[in-house]
Formats: sequence, structure tokens, C-alpha cells
Amino acid sequence: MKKILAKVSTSKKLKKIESFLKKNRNTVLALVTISIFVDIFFVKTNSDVVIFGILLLYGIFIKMFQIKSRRTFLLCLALLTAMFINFLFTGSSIPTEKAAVWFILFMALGIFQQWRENPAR
Amino acid sequence: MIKYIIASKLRLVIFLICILLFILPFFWLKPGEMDIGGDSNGLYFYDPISNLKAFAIYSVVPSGTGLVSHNQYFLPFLLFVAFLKSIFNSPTVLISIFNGLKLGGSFIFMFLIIREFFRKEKEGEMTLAKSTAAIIGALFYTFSPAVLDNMVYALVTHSQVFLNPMMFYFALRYLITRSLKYVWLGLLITFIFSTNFSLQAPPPLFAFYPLAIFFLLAYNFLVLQKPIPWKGIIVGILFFLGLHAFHLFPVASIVFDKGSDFNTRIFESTSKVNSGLEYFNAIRGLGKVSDHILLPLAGKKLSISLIIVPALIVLGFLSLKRKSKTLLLISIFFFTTLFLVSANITQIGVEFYRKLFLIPGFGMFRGFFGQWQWVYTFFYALLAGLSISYFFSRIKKKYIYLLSFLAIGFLIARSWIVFNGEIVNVFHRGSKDVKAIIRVDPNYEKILNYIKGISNDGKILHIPFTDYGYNIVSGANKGVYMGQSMVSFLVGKNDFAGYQDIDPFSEVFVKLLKEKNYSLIKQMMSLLQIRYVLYNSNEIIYDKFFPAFPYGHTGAPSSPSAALDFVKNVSVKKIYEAGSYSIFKVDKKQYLPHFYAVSGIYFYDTIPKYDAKYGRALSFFPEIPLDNNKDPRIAFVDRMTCNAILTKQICNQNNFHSDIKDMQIIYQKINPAKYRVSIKNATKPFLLVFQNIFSPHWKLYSTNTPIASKNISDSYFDGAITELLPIRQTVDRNPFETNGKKIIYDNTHIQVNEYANAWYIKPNNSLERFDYEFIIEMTKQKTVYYSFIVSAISLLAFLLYGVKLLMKQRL
Repeated sequence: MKKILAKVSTSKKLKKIESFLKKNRNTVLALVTISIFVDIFFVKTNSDVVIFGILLLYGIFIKMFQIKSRRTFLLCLALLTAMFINFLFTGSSIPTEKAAVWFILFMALGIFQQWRENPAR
Repeated sequence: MIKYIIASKLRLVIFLICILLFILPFFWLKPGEMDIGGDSNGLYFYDPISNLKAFAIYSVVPSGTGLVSHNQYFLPFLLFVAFLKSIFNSPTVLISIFNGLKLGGSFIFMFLIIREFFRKEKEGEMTLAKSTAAIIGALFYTFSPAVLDNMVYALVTHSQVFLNPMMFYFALRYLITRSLKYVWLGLLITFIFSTNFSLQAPPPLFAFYPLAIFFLLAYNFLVLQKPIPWKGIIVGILFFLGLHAFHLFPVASIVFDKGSDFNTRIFESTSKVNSGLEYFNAIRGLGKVSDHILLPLAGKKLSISLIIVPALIVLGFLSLKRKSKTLLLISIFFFTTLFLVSANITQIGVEFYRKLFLIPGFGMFRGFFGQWQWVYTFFYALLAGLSISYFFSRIKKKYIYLLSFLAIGFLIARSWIVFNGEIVNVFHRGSKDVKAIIRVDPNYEKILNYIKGISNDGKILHIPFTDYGYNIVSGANKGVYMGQSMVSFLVGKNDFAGYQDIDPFSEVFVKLLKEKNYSLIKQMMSLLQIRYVLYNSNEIIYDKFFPAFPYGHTGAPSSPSAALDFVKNVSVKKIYEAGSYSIFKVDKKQYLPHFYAVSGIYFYDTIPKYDAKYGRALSFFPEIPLDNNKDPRIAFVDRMTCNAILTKQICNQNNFHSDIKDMQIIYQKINPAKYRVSIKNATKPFLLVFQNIFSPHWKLYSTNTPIASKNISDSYFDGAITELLPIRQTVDRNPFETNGKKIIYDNTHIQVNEYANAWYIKPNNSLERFDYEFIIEMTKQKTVYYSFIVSAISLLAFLLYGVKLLMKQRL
């Protein structure tokens, strides 16, 4: 397993992809955010593949781009606002519920991320 | 005390908020008004001692056919309420005190818990940021739907809204200080509010305490970094078991009693799936994650205030600059409880939730959003208090004031029903503006007194008859009580108020009502030992005012005139009247007393084209009369059961007639769990029926002491059955009289009429013994008596231990 991981990490193609992503960091993160909001407002079905896929991707980007938990919590605020506005107009509709689930998952991720990055007392 | 409070501004503010919250409920009700309806009723506020005598001492429920249920867990609580009633002498004041405790207690203990966390989290004084955050957290809990939405029709376990934080606070203080006085105080509270620590109503207990204990142990280990306080834990567990033995042991004995409903529900895999998982699957869609994040009050969804606290929590995390173990721990418990309360976080989450139902007993949480809401709100409020303090510690004072003002203002605005009293002054659901608050009608009190004076143990049928087993009683203030029967739970007289009470005949009754088949209805009433009909002519309780609920399904008469027509068809005479209430009695020739010897046994097979239960019950009431037998002393026996007591040849017939011509039965009720029966001139085998719901724990004991045949209450069937005046003892004066006595005819103890007990008794003619003396006792009641002794000794030891702790502290 370690050998495979070592091969993957030294793979030239992957390095190219990584450098490309790093160059377009903001675009990539914007795409992730947009895909979450597209899932909330335009996709009517629930899919764990989408949810955990995006979360995994975001997790990889945290590592790759050294994203701080602050950014995750800002995304949480946006998700909370989206959920709340939806709730006011449509009640506990599918988009509201989806936004709520995204909010909770990102909150959990943010807290975990913050625990790792913050110094002890 | 006052000096202590005014010594600090914060203490003064907290004290004032607490007092304000406590006195608010005193403005909700006018003098004499009561909010006592609902599934578990609040009749104990109205008359705690009658309520206690009626159902909390004996394990036989005083309603319907007398189900066996250990309700002793109410005893200390009812005594406590009776003590308060003796001081305040007003049910309205008592209700207000308990509601005040819920609001004020919730607030103060949540505040104290958050303050304790701050003490360990960040050193130094309570700053403005910490104080305001703690107040917001505590108010967030106090004004949450878990506390407020359940205030009307409150279950007795609703006291958990302040008991949970209180018990948590005592446990936390014990962990921090290691002072056993907190353990002692906590135990005292569990004893007084024993209703919240019972296995009979387990979800509130098992939803909160396991998680709270797990949290506290983790907190002790990770934050306090202290060893586990084994001494306090052992002392606590031993005293808890001892103090609560009187209700825990009897229920535990049922849990492990193979074949009992309790045992089946907890341990049998088919039951776990049927009663737990399938129910969960059916209602899973009602679990909304967004509802639980925003926490709107019922009917008040459109509120800008809903986002304030969640947003402040996120801002709190944004402001956190260092590791906080406490916050992390609370967050983990917040997410866990959010998952449990909403059940709909991703499909993998749902699948995992379904697997939880394989755990024995988890089925109790099938109504997940109702059962987990209190523990969830508790951790949510702690999270709010802690995280908001981090945000407030990063902003200027003026913004703290502004944001606190906004947050608290919005919380108050959202919960305005608490301030204007609408929280309990509601109309019954499905009614045309009929108030749920009542002032008891003096005429109804006369009726209850009259029923109390009835010396025979004939049962009562309520008209109107509801779909859900609710008793509907009109008040003197145009309000209506809807809840458990006042006749059962205040007088202790068995009655039938609705569909669920007349099980196993519920569906057949619906059919007969639709057909207006009064002769078969009368036969059914005799099999249910119904002797009286309590009729209320007040139209406010009929479907003119309750068009949607709780009538419709049974097809019972829905107007006063139709109801009166029904009553006249099934009864013979009005015997008492007070205001709109009347009591009618049925034809004595038709009435089957509590004990009777059977003249005709009818064997039945289930009618296969129907649901088994309905098919069985329906076969008792055929369109064409069974035969020319005019004697109502009949019993229906399942053909399979028959094989256990009679020969195959007899069981293959349609019926079997016994000669009971010269036989005489004399019986006397000692208490709801014990009867004396004397049988004379029994020369031939006979079936003795006891019209209480079948339980293998009803046992027949042989005794040599003859029954004193004076004080006759009534006699039936030309003196063949005599009922003696009941011995009205609140507590059995001879609880162990059957110890050492022989249980007899246990192998011929069978179920008849689809619900009742019967013993097939074969007289021993070779000894020429034709007279018998029996004691019929619910043996589970003896487990209660033994447990009472354990609890009494434990209480004494507990009080002495308290004195010892007090003296130690003074020294």
C-alpha cells in the first residue's frame, strides 16, 4: 500500500494535475462551492456519492491548498443562510433539507479541521 | 442569601430572570382553571391523594378490563404533589408552580452548567462575553420547542426539561469538587421525581442519561484529567437501586419474564422489527434536519429570529483561536444527538440508524424526533453558550450588548406565547374553538362522588364514546377535559371511555354500533361486566364542536339526542342525575358480575376471512343466536385451549353445558389485586370466570378461613352469586397472607371470552368436599410489597447518610 502511495505521489501526471489545480485554486474552490449550491437548488434526488464525493474532494483540497477552517466556516455561514431563506419560503422542503445536511457536514469538517490547526492552550 | 445575590451584578440579573420565568406561569391560568388533559393526564394536580389511591398502589389498572401495569413509580411524586397541595390548596397554583419550575429551573441550571464549563475552559472572572453567552445559551434552551411546545397536554415526564440540566449540574459539580453532597442531592431529586426515572416510561430516562453520563466521563478524563470517582459512582448506584426498588424491581421482573409483552418487545427479533423498525420507517420522513437546526416553535415557523443563534455559533467557531477540548466534546455530542433526533443525515446514516433497532430496547426510540429532542436541545444550548462566548470575546463591548439584545429580544419575541399565556390557553385540535383549559363542573364532582359510593364493582360505559380511549368531560367554563378517564384515575372504578378500552371487542363494537344491534351490544356489555352507563348531554363534547377529532371511526352516537337514544336502548333505568350528567343502569338479568360460574361453554374457531383478533371476537356475536340458552352466564373458549381442560370429544362439539343449579358463589374484593371467593355446593366440574384481563400471574390459592358472608352488596341470578361489600383498604393490611398457601388449579387456568381469566375446577367428590374457599391474587403485587420494604430501608439509610454528610460539612 505504501509503495502504491509513494508511486502515486511521485507520479509525474499527478504532479502536473496538482500544479494545475494549485494555479487555479480559487476557480477550483469556486467550482466546488457552486456544485454544492447546484446540488441544493437544482438536483431533486439525494445521493451519498455526490455528498461524500464533494466532501472528499474538499478534504483533498484542504490538504493541497492548505485551506484554513475559517474558509470552511464561511461556507457554513453561506449554507446556513441558504437553508434559512429556503426555510422561510418553502418550509422543510427538499432544498432546505439538503442545505441543512450540507451545513452540518461542513460544520463537522470545519470543527475537525480547526482542532488540527489550532494550537493547544 | 440575599446578600450573596446582590453582591454581584451578574448574580442579580440571573436571579431576576429566574424569578421572572418562575412567576410567568402564574398569569397563564385564572383561579380554578386547570390544564390537566393529555395522554398521561394531570389529574394529580386536581386531587393527588385520590389519584394515588386509584392507580398508584396496586398493579392492576383501574380502567377497561384491568390490565396489569406497575404504576408504583408515581408514589413519591404524588405524595410530593399532595404535600404541596396541602400547603397551597389550589390545583391552579400547583400547576403554575410546576410550570414555573420548568421555565426557571431550565434557565438557572443551564446557566450554571455553562458557567462551570467556563470556569474550567478559561481562567478568571465571568466576563461580559461569557456572562451574556451563558444567558443566551440558557434562554435558548428555556425557549426551545422541546420545553415550550410540550407544555400543553404535558406528560408527567415533561419535568425532564429542568430535571435533566439539574441532574447534569449536580453530576458535574460532583466531578469537579468530589463532594458527595451533590450525589445525595441528585438522588433525592430522582426519588421525588420518580416518574422520570421509571422503566415504565423509559425513553426520557434512556435518551438523556446514558449520553450525559458518557459525556461527563469523557469530560472528567479529557478536561478535568481526574481519576474516575468510583466511590461516588458506587454510592450513587446502590442508593439509586435501593430508593427506586419499589418500581424498578417489579418492572424488571416483567422485562425478564419470558412471554410478557415487555420481554417480547425488547428481545424478540420479529417484535423488534415490527414494533420498532417498521414504525421508524413509516415516520422517518418527519425527521427534518432543518427543523432541528432552526428550532421553530410549532405554528411559528416564519421568524427571522431562527437564524440568530445558529449563526452566532458559526461565528463563535470562526473566532476560536485555540484548541478547546470542552467545545470539541460538546460538538461531538451535538452532532450525535442531531443525527439521532433527525435520522435523515445521508442515506448511509439512515441505513446505520435502521441497524440500531437490532439493539434490544432501542425500539423505544422509534418516535425518534419526540424522544431525542430534549437531549439534543440540551447539547445544542451548551454548544451555543460556549461558542458564542468565543465570538463575544473577540468583539467590542457595545457590539456584545447589541448582539445580546438582538438575540435575547428575538428569542423572547419568538416565544411571546410564554408571556401572553397562549402557551397553555389553546383550543383542542380538531375542535371548533373548544378550550383545553377547564374548571371542573361541580355537577361532575357530584357524579364522581356518587360513583365513589357505589358498592358493587360493576364497570361503567361512557357516552359519548371516543375513538382513542380519551375521556371527554365538559367543564364549568366551556372548556373540555380530554385525557385519561377521571372515573378510573380519581375514583378507581373500571370504565370504558373509548375504542382502545374495549379491546378485544373494539372492532366488533364498531360493527354492532353501525348495525344498531342493541341485543348483541348488550351481550357484549355483559361480557365486559358493564353495569352502568355515564351519559353527558352537554353538546360541547359532541361532534358539533369536535367535527374532526376524537369521533368518527367508531360510529358511536355523535349528538346528545342520538347518544340518549343509544343509552335508553342498552339500559333500563336512570339512577342519578346532576346537571348534564346522568347515570343509567343496565338490566340486572343481563349483568355478569366479576366472578361467575359458567352454565354454557361455547367453543370457537377464528373466522378465517378476517383479521385473527376480529375473527375470534366476531364469532362470539353471531347474527343467529347460539342456541336457546337464556342464561347469560356463558363463556367462549378457544378450541385449542379447550383441549387442555376437557376431553377431545367435548371440545369437538359446539358447546358444553354445566350443571351449576345448586351452586353458590360469594365473592369480595379485598383490593384491586386480591379477591376472596367462596363456593358452596359444587358437586360437578365447572368453569369459574374472573372478568379481569388474563394474566398467568393471577393465582388461585386454597384457604381454610371462611369468608364472612355478611355485608352483602348485591346478589345476582336468584342468589346464586353474592357480592359482598368491598374491603376499602388503601394498603393491604395482610399483604403476605398467601405466603405458604398452595396455588391450585394453575394448570387449568385459561383465557376465556378472548380476554378474561377462568379456572376449570373439578370438585373432589371422593372426599365429599363440596365447599371451597379461595383467594385470588395477582402475585406480581407481592413483588411490589417486597420491593417496598427494600425501598423503605434504603430511604432510611439514605436520610441517615444525608445527616452524616451535613454534620461532616459543618465540622
